[in-house]
Amino acid sequence: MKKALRNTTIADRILFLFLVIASIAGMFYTREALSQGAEVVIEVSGKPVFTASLYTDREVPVEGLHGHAVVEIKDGKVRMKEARCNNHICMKQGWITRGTIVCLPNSIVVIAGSGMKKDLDAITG
Amino acid sequence: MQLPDKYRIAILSAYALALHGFEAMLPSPIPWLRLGLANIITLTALILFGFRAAMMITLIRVILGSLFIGTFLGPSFILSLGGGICGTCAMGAMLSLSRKIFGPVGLSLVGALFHNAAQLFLAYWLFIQRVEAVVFIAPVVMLLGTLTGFVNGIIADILIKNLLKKEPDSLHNVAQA
Repeated sequence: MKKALRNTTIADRILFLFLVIASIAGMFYTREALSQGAEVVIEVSGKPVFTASLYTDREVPVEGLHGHAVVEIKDGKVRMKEARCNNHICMKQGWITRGTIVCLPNSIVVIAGSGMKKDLDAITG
Repeated sequence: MQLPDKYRIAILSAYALALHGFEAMLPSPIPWLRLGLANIITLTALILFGFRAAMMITLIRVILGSLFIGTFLGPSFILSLGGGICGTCAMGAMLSLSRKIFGPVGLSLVGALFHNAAQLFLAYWLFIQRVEAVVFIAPVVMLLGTLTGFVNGIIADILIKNLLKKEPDSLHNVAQA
């Protein structure tokens, strides 16, 4: 193994290092770039009623099963601002950047950062 | 093309096919991660016998290999063919451009990179059509391809050295390697 490594030219080693560094940097870069395009999806009873970017600040009124609720989007974060339910678990969860907020009594689900789906699309041979 | 060349291409194609089939049977932690073992044979043929032999072996390997495994003309066949042709062309161009600069390891890295690039492009163009999925997966594929390409290059290097040691007279295209 050592002998084989000695047989590589300097250009080989530079190319190898360059490719490794470039691909690792690329991994971080794409992760960053894709999280910029993250979205907020609000579902009521399993049906999407609202979709928007996580980076446009706004308050969204939603009609849940128990009445009015308000979802607030600000600075790439999202929270349940108001909801008419008994225990307010959704409001206590606070701001999130990715993941879900669930208000079970109202049947409202807020999903953040769903811009990517890592499904398997093809297998190469 | 001379007659001995045909025998060599046949034998090397058989080796490449065997490695291709062996690789298809290996369990893999990630479904689309391939070791690219057949590329060892392509690279050896490229350096010892030239670009035409390497391209022949790649085409024979991809077409016959897909027939054996049962993916002929399927999506994975198209990806495999595109990647194989692009990778071999890139290695051939690299070899003729810079015979002294890059050794087998460097050529293998270039081949792996272009193989993956062609596959990603084809996959995007024909099947996925979601640019963020391809962009997301590209660096991961590139890293894995670099690592496997590096190992394959070292194996090809050892193989070429041993072949040259064994029969230096019958290998004609090798004075520069």
